[in-house]
Amino acid sequence: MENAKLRFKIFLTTGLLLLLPMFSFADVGQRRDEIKKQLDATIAISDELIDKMRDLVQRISLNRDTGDEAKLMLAKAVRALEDANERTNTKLPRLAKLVLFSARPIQTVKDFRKEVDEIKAEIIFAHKLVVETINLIKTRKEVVDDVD
Amino acid sequence: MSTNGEMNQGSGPLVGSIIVVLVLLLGGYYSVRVVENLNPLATDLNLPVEESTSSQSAQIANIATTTRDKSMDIEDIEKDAMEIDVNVLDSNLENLDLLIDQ
Repeated sequence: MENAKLRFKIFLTTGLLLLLPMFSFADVGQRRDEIKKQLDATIAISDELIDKMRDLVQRISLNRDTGDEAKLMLAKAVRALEDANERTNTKLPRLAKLVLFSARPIQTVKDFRKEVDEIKAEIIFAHKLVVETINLIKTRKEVVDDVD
Repeated sequence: MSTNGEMNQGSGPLVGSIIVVLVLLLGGYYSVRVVENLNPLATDLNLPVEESTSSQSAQIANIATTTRDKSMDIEDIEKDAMEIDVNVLDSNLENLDLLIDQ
């Protein structure tokens, strides 16, 4: 009788001990999902920013007051945005996968951040060019209006 | 003819076995779920904007197109250019750092 009780306790304890790692796995899964959400959102925001900048460049180039000098500046902005787009759609997703599946995410997340910083620099450069182009067009327009 | 003692002796291993089988079933279900998530081919990292959290959607909404967007007027283009905030890219990275540090 005592022997049976002891055996039952041993089985019960073994079963419960086997359940413990399940909770740990569940935590890891949840954290991975959360990290994936942040990575996806960063890529989506970068994509949106590039689209918005491209839209601005397009509208400026269609403006009737845009001269040759302004168009050259816009061409530089387009090249910077193309580079940012290439990085956003090829390099960032690859680095994001490394962050998710790496045994050392601290290192891989640094690489991801570095790439985002590069993209940010490209967008800032393009934005600066767009603002300069707008100012150039406005100045030209004012001069023409004064002459008229 | 079996005694009460023999009956009790038989129930212990049976209950234990049931627990082990249940654990294995749960483990199997969970690993299938995790493997699906881990499979790079099944993982689309360029999720649509709708799947972002509400704060992320709000950030994207800030840079979303407005009615002014289609205007070719240089003043309107300038206003739209001034509204672009590149720093929104950093907000998710800060959350990411917090999650990785955990």
